[in-house]
Amino acid sequence: MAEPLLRVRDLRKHYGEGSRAVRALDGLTLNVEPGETLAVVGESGSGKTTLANLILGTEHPTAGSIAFQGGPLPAKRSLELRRKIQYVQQNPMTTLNPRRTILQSIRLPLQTHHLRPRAEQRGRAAELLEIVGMSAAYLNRFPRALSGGQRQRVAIARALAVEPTLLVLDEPTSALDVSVQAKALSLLVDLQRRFDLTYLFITHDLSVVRTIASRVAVMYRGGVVEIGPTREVFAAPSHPYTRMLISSIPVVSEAEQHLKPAWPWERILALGAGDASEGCAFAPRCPFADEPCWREPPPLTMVGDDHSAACHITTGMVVPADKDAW
Amino acid sequence: MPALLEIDRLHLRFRLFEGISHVINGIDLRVERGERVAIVGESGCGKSVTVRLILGLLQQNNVLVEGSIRFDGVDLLQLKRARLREIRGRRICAVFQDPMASLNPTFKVYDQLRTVIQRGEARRDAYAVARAALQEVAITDPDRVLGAYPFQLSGGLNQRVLIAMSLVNQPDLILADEPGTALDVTVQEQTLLLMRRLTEQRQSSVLLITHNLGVVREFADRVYVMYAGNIVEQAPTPELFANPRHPYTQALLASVPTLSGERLPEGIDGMVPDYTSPPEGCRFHPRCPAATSVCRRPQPFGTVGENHLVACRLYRSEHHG
Amino acid sequence: MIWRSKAWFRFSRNALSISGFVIVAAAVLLALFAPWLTPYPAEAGKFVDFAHASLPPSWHHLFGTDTIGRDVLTRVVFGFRVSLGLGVVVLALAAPVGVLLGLLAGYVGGWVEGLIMRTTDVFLALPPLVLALAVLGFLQPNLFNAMMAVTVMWWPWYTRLVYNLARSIRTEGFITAAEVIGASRSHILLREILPNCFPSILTKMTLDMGFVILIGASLSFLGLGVQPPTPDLGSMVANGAQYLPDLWWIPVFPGIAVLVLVLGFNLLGDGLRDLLDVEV
Repeated sequence: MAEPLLRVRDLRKHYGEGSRAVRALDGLTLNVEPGETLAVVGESGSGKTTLANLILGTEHPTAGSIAFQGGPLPAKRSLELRRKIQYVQQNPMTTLNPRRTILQSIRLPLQTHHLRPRAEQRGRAAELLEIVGMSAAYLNRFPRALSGGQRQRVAIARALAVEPTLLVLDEPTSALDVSVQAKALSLLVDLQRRFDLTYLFITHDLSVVRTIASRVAVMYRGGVVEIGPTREVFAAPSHPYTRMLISSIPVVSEAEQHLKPAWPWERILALGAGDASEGCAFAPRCPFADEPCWREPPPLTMVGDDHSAACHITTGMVVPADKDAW
Repeated sequence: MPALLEIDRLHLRFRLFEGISHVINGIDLRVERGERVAIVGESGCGKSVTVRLILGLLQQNNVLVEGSIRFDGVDLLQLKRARLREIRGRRICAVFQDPMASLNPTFKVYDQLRTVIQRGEARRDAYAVARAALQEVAITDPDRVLGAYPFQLSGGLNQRVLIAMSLVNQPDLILADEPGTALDVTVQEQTLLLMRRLTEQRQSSVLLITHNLGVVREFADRVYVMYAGNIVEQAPTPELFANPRHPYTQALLASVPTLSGERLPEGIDGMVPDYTSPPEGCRFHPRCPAATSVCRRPQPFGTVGENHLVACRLYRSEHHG
Repeated sequence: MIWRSKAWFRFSRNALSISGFVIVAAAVLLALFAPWLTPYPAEAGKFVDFAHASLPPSWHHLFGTDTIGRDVLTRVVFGFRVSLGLGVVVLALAAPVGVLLGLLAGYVGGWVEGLIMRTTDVFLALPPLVLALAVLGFLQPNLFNAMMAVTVMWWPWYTRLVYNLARSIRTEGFITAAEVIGASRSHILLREILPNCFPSILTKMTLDMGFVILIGASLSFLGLGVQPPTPDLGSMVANGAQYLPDLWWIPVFPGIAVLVLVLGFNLLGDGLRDLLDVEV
């Protein structure tokens, strides 16, 4: 078994002190294997952005460790290490400096890492644009002349300029129209194959996950609640939150409708102040929550081949009252 | 019996430095009483600006409008501001995209709700009405919410407050512009279910604007597909998803990633046209795999099924009754 | 080619901005070409002609002559030179220093931010004129020292402006992108953040010109700036005030000139602010 590219162990990130501290990441453990696409799914407050920031080194962890290619990955890292992990952001409208031309934006990584002599940088930038399907004519334009989809392509070209090993993509297609998103996704899949990249793909869109991810990790309030191969997790979602997520995807065909798990929406429509839980973080929103859930945090347990979930139902400690809804 | 909302031959142009931008290119649309209608399209197609026109929010002097927007027989485009304001907020209400941006952060929820209630009629029991309105949107502790400021509440709660605000005066028509898009997907789903239930109960009409085809399928009775300022296809929802005819509709559906993950979604080559110099005739033809020289002429609607119309040369010869 | 740009299109729609632009352009041209544009260039400074002293405005002397026979119009135009020159020098010194400190404080943070911003706060707490007077109290009153005094109390405004800008730009996506790429701090400060500050800085400099000119004129009025016989609008008003109301043209025209100059820069600055859509 090959060495994981990224090993995250018991990662914690707290903001503030004591009882009022916000626990953005609360003991996160996962691996990213070389060459795979690991999707990290979660909603706001799940900690997925914090995870990305810690991996990218824009924030320091409070506790826990991250190892990359066997060695430590601190926030303050060498230029060489920086080269290996690059980033594509969610919002294409702010990812490029509005006062710099496309050429200048793509040259930045080339200059910073001394990858090409100055005379060759323009040529390399044109090459990179071509790889993402854009003509070199765009090099002299400013971002305001480009659409959202085009800007995202430039951002991808810029990320590829340093020939990274790991690409962290934070909702790279969420801000794009669906027809543009489709093109961006095929581009990303194609690039992964061509350049032997590993993707950490953060998203809230489970349909996208189903389409391009080999493994998926579902996050809720700072921890992983379910993780496993994509097909497995979709075929047999074992954590209530995962089931809730999948069943909330608005699908466009009857066939897909049948693929969604049942979820008692009407039952949980009522929205009020949630009681805090000492045990499972999802208990306040869970229609199947029972006494142990509020008391004890469920550990991550295996439910299938390489597939684990953190829920008392899987261990048998809690039995859902109505079997039909589960 | 005329429809609640009838839009006829609507054109909208903006006078810009670059030229005249022809943003809405002659659309006809109706919403019957008690009906839920969706306009689906990607960014820039003109769906949001249509809503703003209905609400009378485009009053600048570089705006040129033609056609009519009839609400219960009255043309909104011809109304004086005062009359428009009477209708707006009472008989037509709106729910916009981002609840955090739609609520005033310096006023408590109750104050904002009361302002809306008083637009209906001056009442002494405004608090009771507000409380009941919040309970309608399944908020279990309405007193706490009424006394709070929007920033103290979650996005989901704020969205429900907005929905409550839009329903409290029992409007005939609700305009919803991408509601829930700024929210988490589970919250969005709950929001949609709530809106569907409530509007069904009250027989309110809804005009929903969205780019999400899945949302349309779950929520709307009838759909208009819009591209670059034109309606290219319209049908009852089940019919549209079962038999999409217009090449754009088909391409759009093919671009949505599927839950079965069998194939990579396709996407559409090319870009949305420049409205200051749009393509002649069908505005989609430069990107259409089935385009011929005929497409450079404007395409009228052809009927392809019960209440199902398509504006495409491929369907001109099919006529029913 | 600038006439055809979209920016010019919007700018030219605003009559006030155009007026401001015209006034400033005219003032600059007059200042630059004063010796060739004025009727009596020799009379600007050291000159005496009692035969033509204290003459009211006439066709020969549009603004009249002063008590020692110098043409007031010529002196006003040469006064523009001094005022504009003062403004340019002060801003050319104060702005870069202030901007740099603001960038450092806004982006680097930590103790650097604390040190710079607390110092800035101290300077900003003192009334500008008082500060200038304090500085001049130690020095000989002359144009150069007046400029130094004004510069010393002008840089903090730029620091504060750029500090606020840098703090908000710091959180933008493209800055994070540059950080992840590994760009150096100096690159991020000077090549990523600073270019986004230019519109605000430019607008502020334009608006400031008016104020600097006014402060300079005030200092001269108090006798602490430019010394006679160098023509300066402020001292012309000060020295001419005693001749009101009989020889009214001696202080009034220089006074109007200051007014128009300051107004011009303010209008131009406002127009720029609307055009560039900045918060200053």
